Amino acid sequence: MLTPENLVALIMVVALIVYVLTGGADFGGGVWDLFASGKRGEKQRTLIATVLAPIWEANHIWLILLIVLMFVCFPSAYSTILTFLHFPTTIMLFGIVLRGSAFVFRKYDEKSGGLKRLWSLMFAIGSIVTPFFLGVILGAITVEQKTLEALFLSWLQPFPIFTGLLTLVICAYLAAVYLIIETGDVELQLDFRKRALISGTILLCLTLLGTLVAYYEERNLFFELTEGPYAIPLQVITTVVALSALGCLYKYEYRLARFFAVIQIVLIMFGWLITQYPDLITGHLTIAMAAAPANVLVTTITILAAGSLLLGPALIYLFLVFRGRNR
Amino acid sequence: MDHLLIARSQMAFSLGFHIIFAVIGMGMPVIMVVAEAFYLKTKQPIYLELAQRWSKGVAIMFAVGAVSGTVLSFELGLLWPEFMALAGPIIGMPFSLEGFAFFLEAIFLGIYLYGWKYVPPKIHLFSGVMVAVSGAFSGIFVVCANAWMNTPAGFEIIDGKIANVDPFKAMFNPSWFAQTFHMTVAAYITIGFAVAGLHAFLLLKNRNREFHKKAFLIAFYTAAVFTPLQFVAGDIAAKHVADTQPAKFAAMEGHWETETHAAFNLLGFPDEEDEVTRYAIRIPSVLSFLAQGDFAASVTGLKDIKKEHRPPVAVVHWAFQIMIASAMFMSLVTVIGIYWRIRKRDLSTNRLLLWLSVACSPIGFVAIEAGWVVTEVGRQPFIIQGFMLTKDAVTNVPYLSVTFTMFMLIYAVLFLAVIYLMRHQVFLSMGGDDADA
Repeated sequence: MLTPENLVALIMVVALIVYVLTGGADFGGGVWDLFASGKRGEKQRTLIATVLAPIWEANHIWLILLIVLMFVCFPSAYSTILTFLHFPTTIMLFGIVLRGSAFVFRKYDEKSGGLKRLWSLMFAIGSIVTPFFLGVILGAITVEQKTLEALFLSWLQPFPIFTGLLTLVICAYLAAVYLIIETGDVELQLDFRKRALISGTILLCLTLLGTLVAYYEERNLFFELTEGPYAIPLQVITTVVALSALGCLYKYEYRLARFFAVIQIVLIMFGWLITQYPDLITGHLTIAMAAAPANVLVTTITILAAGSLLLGPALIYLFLVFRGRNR
Repeated sequence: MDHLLIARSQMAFSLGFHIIFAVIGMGMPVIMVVAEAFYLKTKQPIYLELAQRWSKGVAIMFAVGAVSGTVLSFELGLLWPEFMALAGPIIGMPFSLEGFAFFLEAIFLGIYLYGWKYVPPKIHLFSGVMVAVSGAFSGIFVVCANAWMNTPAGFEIIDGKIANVDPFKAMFNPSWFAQTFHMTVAAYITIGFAVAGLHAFLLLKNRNREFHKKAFLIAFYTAAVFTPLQFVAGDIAAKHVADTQPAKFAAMEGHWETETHAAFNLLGFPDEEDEVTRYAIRIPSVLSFLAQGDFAASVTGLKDIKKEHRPPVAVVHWAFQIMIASAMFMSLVTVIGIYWRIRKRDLSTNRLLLWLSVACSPIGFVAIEAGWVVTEVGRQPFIIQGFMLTKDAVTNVPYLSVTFTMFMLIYAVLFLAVIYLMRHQVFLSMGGDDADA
């Protein structure tokens, strides 16, 4: 039902998906920076840095928009999550701080040497820690806990750790798929094609494994994943799309591969959304329970609508200006 | 340290860190755009060089500002969940708007920093203007939310729950104008002097004179334009605080007795035990005038405020003294500069003015930090004036000292890294000979 609170929740889900597709790929760039290797290692790093430089700040703001919407529209969820998941959130913040600052430090530190290697390492660590813990937090609110207090240590359980890994691999996969198209250098393209094939295969295995982890660890979640009219078809479609993306990569059809990869990630997150609705914190807080007064929600939706009239064109212009500049 | 004090320290530390970069993000784009506009008008490459050199610094500062700002948006809930559960929806409007302003700032900064070759000159300048405008709005929106904590409005509490929220009344609460005006002007003055001081130093070292002269003049005039405005803004802010937050005002002054013809306490040591401010230079009736524009007006003293509702007097009083002293010093330097300008002398060869500008370089930041101590510590023990005590808002999560220590360490490393980069990559690269420009 499209109540104001459901509409805001839907906008937040869209923002989260866009964040993963854009900002997530930036984190993935950091992962490949760490794994840059071979005689083209430096070239790989340079490509990642030049592609990221103009857009990562804007991509990062989706997260801020999300958290602001959370505390404005679902204040009790914001307070509860940040209280009981205080530690994984704090670690994620360390990751955000390290990644963002190390990236510019490295860019503007023209001297090579020890410090530059330190910035690189900070950038890579931040790029791994942030998506992993974002996934952990999402996993922790997905799994049902007996009491809210149990949420405090819930993130150390297998399922949240699993979603953390899943998120990290999603980011790495997206980055590899995007980077292929960002360069005109055929050898670099092949490097990232290889990385995309490896991470894409791992991602496919993980999504299939996810159902298994749910079966052994979180029986309630398993039933949500497998029951209901959409559950099985959605899983089948996601798998088919994932295989198509890998097939296109294998056949050097990079643009089509990117298309399928994006659809695959949207489907994975959409599947998660279906199991999660209508809960914000499974078993404890629903969207309706946590919602702010209706007039606040309506004002916020109005601001979002008006703001996106300004924001949309600007964002599209940003991406158009820098699209394929390294080819 | 006890739990509440750790939480407050972490918040103070994170805000104190972020505010430096936020102010740079507001102010730097302005002078950067001025330089670029001069370039488009005069076609002198030296102005283009200036805009590009400055934009390097902006890139670093903006990134650190963005990540430390992200931390704050989470920290509000990590440390003050009870406050946010209540206040989140009420002050949601300025925060949502700030999200958009920040988004626009990031988009146009991307175009500005990396689009020199890819977009037409006018679009490039426009991007710079958008960075400056959205930067200013970001600051204004956040300060609106803070103003609400000082003078909460636009809601009712019925049976312990918020009701009848009016987002517009909450955003445009009684303090919004006084605070945003004061803060925005402070940001521009601070950046003007910070940059003027840097280039004054290089002029004194006789480096690349033409380049640093232009840089110095743009920055110095920026500061000079905004300095007189701060007297107006400061006056509005002082009268407003006296009117709406008597405890904060009395603490700023170390003023204990409610009296007419109240004296202004310059310096001095407030003693909270004996309820007296010792060794202060007392200027008769001036406090009454500052508070209400009338030398005979009555000013509430701390003795008329319940002991448990008084802020820490000495901290607030001294922070206020530091802010005022900083303002006076910067104003004096501005007056000297303007006097020199009226006598048609070249400002960039006046060694006294250059040295004074170097001294002013960090002082704006000192004034801003002190001003924030005044407004935040001065509101204690409340987190929402009159509605919620800070101790009732704090999280019950244990081991806060661990996260606090980690944040301190990371921020310390960041701060050192920024100083190192500014020194080696931006500052020294400007020190070359004239051929370099």
